[in-house]
Amino acid sequence: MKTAKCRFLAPAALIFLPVFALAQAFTFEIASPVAAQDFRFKTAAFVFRTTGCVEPEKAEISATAHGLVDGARRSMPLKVMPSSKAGVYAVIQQWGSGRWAVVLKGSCAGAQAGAIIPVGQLGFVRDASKFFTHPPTAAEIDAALKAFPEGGYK
Amino acid sequence: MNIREHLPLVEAPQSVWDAIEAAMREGEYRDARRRPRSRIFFAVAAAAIFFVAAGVYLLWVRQWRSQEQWIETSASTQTTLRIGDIGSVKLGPNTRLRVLADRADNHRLQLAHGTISARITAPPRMFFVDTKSGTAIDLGCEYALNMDDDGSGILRVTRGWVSFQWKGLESLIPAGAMCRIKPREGADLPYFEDAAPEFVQSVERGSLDSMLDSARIRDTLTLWHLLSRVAPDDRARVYDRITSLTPVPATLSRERALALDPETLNQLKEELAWKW
Repeated sequence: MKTAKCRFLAPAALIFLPVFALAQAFTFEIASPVAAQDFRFKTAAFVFRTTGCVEPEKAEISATAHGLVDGARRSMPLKVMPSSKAGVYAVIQQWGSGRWAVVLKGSCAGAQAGAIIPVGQLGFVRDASKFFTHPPTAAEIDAALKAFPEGGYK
Repeated sequence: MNIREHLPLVEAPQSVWDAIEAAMREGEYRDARRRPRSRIFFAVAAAAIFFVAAGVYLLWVRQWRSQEQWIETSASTQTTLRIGDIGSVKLGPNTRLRVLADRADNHRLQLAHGTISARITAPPRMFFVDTKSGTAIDLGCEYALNMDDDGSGILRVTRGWVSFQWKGLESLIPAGAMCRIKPREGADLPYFEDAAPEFVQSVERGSLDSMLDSARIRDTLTLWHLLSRVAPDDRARVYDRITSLTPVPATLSRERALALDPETLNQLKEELAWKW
């Protein structure tokens, strides 16, 4: 009997697992401030939104700036401004000169998301940004700061 | 009993009448002396009011005219114009510009030629720059606008974005993008300055096939503008190229986009902006 039950469990798993996999994962998407369609954000460093979160208004979001200033590591919590649209936020620049990357962390209904977004003279660097399904680790942040080109991103 | 019926009637002496007449003549004299003074007073008052009003009017006209006076820089000078409380405009060398309106809700300049760099902190659509080939409308931004005398020019946006309008044709240029302005045609297709050279060349040549082939995700800015500028037969190719580069919401109707439904196009733009 036990063997008969097992025979049906495996095919059932093969059917349903892909269904769950196809559901959109919780993650971040970044853009220039114009994407938020909110003029209050026009001086923001960048805006971001959550995707794959069933109730975005209940997501817990935080942002921290990590940087290398004159060879010394520094970090500071950042103010994240919510938009009138659920799940859309702006990050206001509070860092100065040096190599800086903004680290985003989020949780939604038990799912985690993270992002490391390097910033340069002209704003966030989309091509160098990395996205994770977990909060970025210290090693990942270090790697991102070390990957800055000589003179920083333009 | 009525006493008056029993009193005798007596004629007043002539001296009484003479005294009364003298007193009346004295009163007329005083009135006659007073009348010229009051006339002079009112005349002076009226004149004063007139001159004050004229002065106020002339001051108002002068202020109005000064707003329309041209501001010009030479080949070796630059200047910065403060725009109310909402920002500033820097005039580069060889620039000719004037202020058409300077109200709290409407700041409007006219740029004849030269280069300006605007930095505006106001809500959208409060700052306008008229040119021979259209109007740049601030949507919350910093940008540089260079215009020649013939109405050709270049618009580059460094922060926020700008709407450039000419006879109903609108181009939206976000930060990092630019567009060429053509005389009697308005703004050409905007494109990001970091686009591949072959894409930029295809935009400038107006080569649709090359544009579609060489476009990357970020170039959907250009392709979105192209939707309303190509023939209906080509519109489907442009839309399908956009959706091949980046997914769009399932709720967005392809048919309505191809029909250039404004709400659908706006929804498409808002979604694509997350890639720009």
